[in-house]
Order: sequence, then structure tokens, then C-alpha cells
Amino acid sequence: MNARVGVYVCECGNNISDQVDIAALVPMLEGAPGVVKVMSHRLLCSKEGQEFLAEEVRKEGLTHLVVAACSPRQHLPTFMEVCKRGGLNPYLMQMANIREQCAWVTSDRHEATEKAARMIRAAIARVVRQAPLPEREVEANPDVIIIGGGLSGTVTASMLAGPERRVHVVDRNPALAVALTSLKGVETHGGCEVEAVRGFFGNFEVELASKGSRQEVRVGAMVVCTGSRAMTLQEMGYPGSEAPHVVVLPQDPESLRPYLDALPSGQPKVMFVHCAGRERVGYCSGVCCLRSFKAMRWMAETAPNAQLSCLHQDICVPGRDGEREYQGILGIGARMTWGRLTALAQQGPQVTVSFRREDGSIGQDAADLVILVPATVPNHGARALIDIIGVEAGPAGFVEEAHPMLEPVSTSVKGIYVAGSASGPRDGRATSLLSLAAAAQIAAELRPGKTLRLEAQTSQVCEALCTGCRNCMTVCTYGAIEYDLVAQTCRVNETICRGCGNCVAACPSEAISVKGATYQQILQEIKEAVR
Amino acid sequence: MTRNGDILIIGAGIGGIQASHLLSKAGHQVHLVEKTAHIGGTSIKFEDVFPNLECATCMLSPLEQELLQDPNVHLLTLTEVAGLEGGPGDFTVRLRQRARYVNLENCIGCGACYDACPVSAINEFEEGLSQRKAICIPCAGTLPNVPRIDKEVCIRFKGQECVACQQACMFEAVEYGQEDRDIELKVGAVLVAVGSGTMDVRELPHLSYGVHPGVFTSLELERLNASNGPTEGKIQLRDGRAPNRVALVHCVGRRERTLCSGVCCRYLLKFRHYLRHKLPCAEVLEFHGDLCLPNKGDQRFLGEMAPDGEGLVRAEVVRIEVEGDYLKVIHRRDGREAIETVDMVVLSPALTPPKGATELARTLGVALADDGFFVVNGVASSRPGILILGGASGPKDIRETVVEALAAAGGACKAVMEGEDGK
Repeated sequence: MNARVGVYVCECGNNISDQVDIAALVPMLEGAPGVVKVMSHRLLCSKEGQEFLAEEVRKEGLTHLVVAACSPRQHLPTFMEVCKRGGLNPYLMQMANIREQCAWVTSDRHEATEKAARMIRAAIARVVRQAPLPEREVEANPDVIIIGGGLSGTVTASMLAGPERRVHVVDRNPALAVALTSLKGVETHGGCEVEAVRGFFGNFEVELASKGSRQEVRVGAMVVCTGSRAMTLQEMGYPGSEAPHVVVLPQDPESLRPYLDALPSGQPKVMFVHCAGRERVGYCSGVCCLRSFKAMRWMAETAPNAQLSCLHQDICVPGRDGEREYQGILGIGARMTWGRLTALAQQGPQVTVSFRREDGSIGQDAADLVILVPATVPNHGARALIDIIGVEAGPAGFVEEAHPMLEPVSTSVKGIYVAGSASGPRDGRATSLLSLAAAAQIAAELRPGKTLRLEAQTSQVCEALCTGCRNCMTVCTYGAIEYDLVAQTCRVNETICRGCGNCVAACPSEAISVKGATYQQILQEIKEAVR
Repeated sequence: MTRNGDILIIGAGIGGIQASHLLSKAGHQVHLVEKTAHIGGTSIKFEDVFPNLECATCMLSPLEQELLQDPNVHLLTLTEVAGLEGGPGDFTVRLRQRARYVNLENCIGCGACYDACPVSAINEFEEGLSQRKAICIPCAGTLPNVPRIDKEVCIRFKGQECVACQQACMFEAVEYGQEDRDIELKVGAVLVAVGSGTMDVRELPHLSYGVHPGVFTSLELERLNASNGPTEGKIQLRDGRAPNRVALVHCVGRRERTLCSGVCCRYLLKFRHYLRHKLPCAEVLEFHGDLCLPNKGDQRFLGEMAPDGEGLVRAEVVRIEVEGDYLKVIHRRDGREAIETVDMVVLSPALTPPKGATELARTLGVALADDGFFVVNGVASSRPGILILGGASGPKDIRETVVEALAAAGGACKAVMEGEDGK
């Protein structure tokens, strides 16, 4: 069938027509290959303009459409909808941005008109080489697997489980909390680890292994709730940290009781040392100052005769409660010293604490009990899990969010979410909020009974050109490319591909292209623009 | 009885926008109410955002654009909540919408009317650093890209026969006859996303803000650096000169409010990046106390912006004195007072409860804490079915606000459903 291209030029009120001579422009476009109609309109995005355009597509039996108007950023969705209403596949429409890229930035009217004509001819050359792309959908499994049965796993599970959605919770620990095992709609897999993951958002197959047995679970989404832990004395690596009166601050200060009982009578000196392990990990955990202050307050109440001191670096207590707690600690007379811990040494009944001040000088102090406030690090096994499921991790080994601000519970893999302190050190409130957020995001994106819409403009591999070098696989952040061992070529899984085009740039053989933006389409477009 | 699944969101900043997107995806109808004429809140005032110095406009405008085209989101600008009755799943909310005097559908945002307007007024969005017309958008790029007429300054509304904007409009979009209107809606849950305010630094007269033109607030510096701001991105003093020596002052109002706002250390480091980029010759001194840099990348950024502690002065600013064109920053360091002379001072004021929090809390029937922020348990307010997110319940950065927005959106869905179970 011969192409019947319609070209519609929007005047955008006077925004385009002030600078582009529409009357001169229209005849410049007539007669371009395939073009059957060229027309201008005062404002194509208006309700009346949209109806007119949809009617034109139908009436003229157009096979392709060029809309010369504003930026596609503003109105691409508008005109794609118009195509649908007119019965034309929306990928057979091309916009030429003759407002922002021409009328608004070209001072000479004659030049602007000439430039607009070139831009529109380029769009025509491209659109006739475009193919219709189908809107694709896939059935999705609403069930969810949560990896980790701690606070974040429990909160996420309790929000998601329901009559229409089954939730699996996996934990390496065989004994899972009653709060979890008693939840309706939750199936727990204690003592299990994730061995392998196949599939994609909506349809994952997760292989679980426990001692001697294997099991496969089918779900639509996964949540990483592996949490974090305190750095150990060995990992911190301070000289002398094996001294008997040196202890890492436990989650619950009550666990310090045996140490208090062992303190000498009189006025024993208890020293809290902040930022233990910070230099090694390279970041501030952000939650420890407040935790330390709360423990110091507990200590002041439990052992009122103890002399409290605190070796700290910059105090980090953002938010409404932190500063009050800080002032409270200053109020109970704790001695505060700024310094970086360098070494510990048991000397007789006391521990000598060496530190470096901000000006570089060395200081020393001694205490009967030294409590190290530890850096927070990813939990044991998190690294291995991250590798198995293929999400990106940051330098510290925490799961990296898809976007640090806007997508705080999504990961680099669509359908795998992260909650709690698996993505960074968090306090209890932040852990719960992140878990609620992850649950809400999944509930919205994976709705029981709803299909998932897939990207229409995916990559495709031309097998005849593919040499099987697999460069594309290394740059694909979605894991959408597979290597066919038999054919020795790469293949795109179009259910996963999101059409970013990374693989196109990486392919040395020009074997890959993104549908709707092929080499031919772009080349012809450029040729026409610079002819 | 049937429960209402519609959700009311108060405030169209980044929190309200992200909550709207999630609820729309989850199949709910959202009524998004915004007090001003545009969406985007405070974040759209920033040029770059922490931690990756991402362009804020590039990050936010696609989200805003998507919101405006979402059939599930009913945006009501220039609107405030006047009353609320009922409970989860069955609230009746009364809204008051002020007239825009510009037809949202007809206007294409070409801006022809601004040039025609004879009135000039202070632009509040630009922190008073520039002038605007009576018919205007606050700055280039704000959405919806439709101006409004500010009745308070428009001479037509003061009795003069001016029709300049109407004549300039090619699309018959200017409608002087529009009237304020009352709207009543039925919703199942309410999200409060009104953000926080900033402390008025005039409360601290020893810092000479408003006394000497060389003293700026952090939001003023953000707008000076913004490419769509009053100086098109030139960081300059109020008389147009470039500053040579700049003092960044941390923790302004921290003691008075017993509150570490948690965002200032990070944005002040970002300012060093702005200054280094725009004014490579200017010397920068940062007067700081405890540096609060807990997030991913923060410590690395500190290392890049202040290698070997360059420009960092651990000292408390005692007062700022005026000396002709210059400013003397009197600070206490290791117990001794010292002086540095600069020509520009940037203050980082504490974040405060949002303006109008007391009235809003009364209207909604939710509790405020002693410090004026909303009382929350997680994101739940003191009243079932009403959730609070972002800066309204304490200082938050963008990331924390978005996390709470998602959590609150989930909570709203649950509130609607649980109402159903309960009946």
C-alpha cells in the first residue's frame, strides 16, 4: 500500500506564525514523497483542534501523520491519543518541534521558515519508515516474596497479604517471629535461602533452598528486606579492642547490665565512643548518635553514680526528637569530647582510649567501661543475595535505589523492591515507613486481576548481524538480553526491555536497534534535515 | 453503605505529587488541592538537588506534566480547605477556590499578557528579589503554564478600566467575570502534604538580615543561582556586584527552636558547588557546628567541596556587624572571639511548621505538637483517615518526603478499605 502522509502545521496562536511564514511554508511541503495533504491550524492541541485532526486522519485515510507544533515533551501523549481516536497506530506519527527549536529561537523570519520546512521534511522522511507497534500486555501474578523476616519484612507482609494476594516470607533463620507466622495469607519459609531467580516483573520464579530440599515459588514481585547489622569489633580493627572492658553498644541497652554489675564501686567511669568503624566504612550511619544518647540516658538512670563521658565526632541528630535528646545529655552533665578513636588498651582495671582531635593532636582518656557505638553495615548474606537477584548495590554493599529521591523503594530491576535498612542505615521509624512505602508501591503497580502494560518501543537484535560478543548484555541494566547458546547470538526479552537504547550504542556490529528509532529512520531524518 | 475511594490531598509539592501518582496507579480518584496557582512546592525553587546535583527541574517537570495529564487526578489550584466532616471512607470536605481569572483550558501559556500588564509588584516566589506583573506565572517553567491575575495588585480590581491583558490574549482566555467558588467533595481519606516553612531570620536581629543588603537567606541564594530565577543564575549582591568573600552560616535558629533541620549542612555544601562554579574567585567560609551528613554520598561530597577542611570554620556565629559595604562575622572559636570580614552572608534558617498550620489543624480536627508541627505516629495523624506526610510533621528532605508520601498513600487506601470492613 502506498503511503498517505498528512502534514499538519500548528500556528500555536501567534507563537509559531509570528516567526514562521505559514503561507509560504505550506507549499514548500506539498509534493514531498508520500504527502497527500498539508494544512495549517490555529491551535492543534485545543479540543477543537484535536477533533479536527482525528477526523482528518479518518477522512483522508492517512497512513502516517506529521504534526509540526511544539515540543513532544509537552504534547506527544496528546497527539498519540488523537491518532488512536482517528484509527491510526500512534507510532506512525512524528512530531516536528517548530516552536521551541525554531520559532522561539530563530530571529530571522525567512530563516525560521526555511528551518521549519527542513524540520518537517525530516519528520516526513522518518515517519514513512516507521512501523506500527502493538500495545502489549502480560498477565501478572499478584503474589509477592519477601526476603527477610525482620521488622521491615513483617510490616511489608502485613500490609500486602490479603484474600487476593499471597505473601511468601523467606528467612535464613528457621524460627520466624509469631507476628509473621500467624498472619493470614502469609506463607513463611524459615531456614531457606534464595538460590536463583528467573523471569521478570509479574512473573518471577524463585528457587529456594533449605538443608537438602529445594522449592520453587512463583510470584509477581520481590521485596528485599535483609536489613542491616552493627559492625563487629574485628571489622572495626582498632588496636586493643579485644580488651575485656570494651563492648559494642547492643540494640537493647538492657543487655549492658552484666557490664554495669561488674563496674567497680564508687564513681566508675563509663565512656561512649561514637563513630566506631566510621573511617573503615566511609560514611556516617546517621542513626547512632541518637541511639547512643538514649543509651546514655538509660545508663544515667540505671547507674546514677557512673561518670558518663562521650568521645564523639560531629553529632548527627536531625529531626524533632534528636536535638532535645542531645540537650538532655548535655543537661545530665556528660563530658563531651570531640575526637576520632585511634586505639584502645586495657591498662590494669581501666581501658585507655587514644584519639585524634580535629587539629590533629593526640589525646588520651581512661574509663572503666568503654562502649563503642558501631557503624551500621549490610546484613550477612546481603551481598550474595544481591548478586543472585541482580540488583545494583552501592559501594558500601547496601541495595541501591532506582532513584535516590523519587523511587526510594524500587531497585534497578523492575519488580524487585527494597525496604527497611537493606538500602541504608535506618532507625525504627524510617524502617517502618519504607516498608509501608514498598507495600503501597507494589499494591499500586501489581494489582490482582490486572495485566501489566509493556513498553512498545523495545530493542531488537538482527541475528544475521549479531556476532555473539555479548557487549549488550553488560550494559543492559534490566537483564533483558539473553544469549542463545545454540544460535550463538543475543536475543532481547521484550517483556523486560524498556527501550533505553544502551545496547544499541554498545553493539559494535549495528545488530541492535530500538523499534521506532532504527538507524535507517534516524539516518533518513538527518539526511533530509541537512539536504 | 458504599465507601468512598476518592482521596483528598492537600498540597501539590513533591510529596503531594508522588502520592497522587501512586494513588492514581492504584485506581483511586485523587482531588489534589493546592493553595497557590502552581504545583511543585518548594523543590521547584532549586536549581540542583542533593546528593548527585541533579537538575531539579529536569527531575520534577516530567512528574508534574504527567500529573496534569492524568485523568485520575483532579487538580484544584488556588484552593484551600474550609471544612471537614465525617470519618474514614466517608468524609465530606468543603473547599474554597479563588478565581484565577484565566481560563485553564483556553490558555496556552504563551505569556503575551504579561508584557501588556502595566502593574509591577514584588515577586514572592522569587523571595522578593524581582518584580512581577499583576497577571503572571511565578517564574518560567512553573506548571500549569497558565497565569493568574493577582486581584490584590491588579488595577482593574481597584476600579480602573484596564483591559490590557484581555486585549493581548489571542485565545480569549482572560475572564474578568470569574468568581471565587465553594466546592463540596466526598472523599474516603485525606492526605496532608503542606510541607514546612522557614524561620523568619528577622527574629534574630543580631544577624543583620534586612539591615544590610549583603545578608541573604538560603532560599534567596537558591533563586539567585537558578537559571529561571531573577538574575538568570548570576550570583550577585543586591546592587549587582559579584561577592568576593562569602560566609555560609549553619544552624541559624537551631538553638531557639531546639531542632536540627537536617537539610542545611547538605544544601550549604551544595551552595559551595554553586559558588565554585559561578564565582571561581570568591572565597567561601563556612561557619558550622556539628556537620549532619548521614546520607549516601554525603561524606564523599564533603570531601569534594571542602578538601582537607578547606573553608570550614568550626565556630558559633555570635553576631554580624555592618561596616560600610562589608559585614563583620563575629564568631567564637575554641572559646575565643574572632572576626572575619566578608561582603556576602548566607543564613540557613531552621525549618518551621508550615504557615497556617494552626488553622489547618483546627479545620481538619487533628492535633499539633507543642513545637507547632503536626502530631504523627508514622504517617497517621491523631484523627483516623487523615494522614500527614513530609515537612508538615517535622523537617524532611525530598527523599524522606517521598517515602512518607508513598507510605501515606498506602495508608489512605487501607483507611478506605478498613472503613468498609468496619461497617
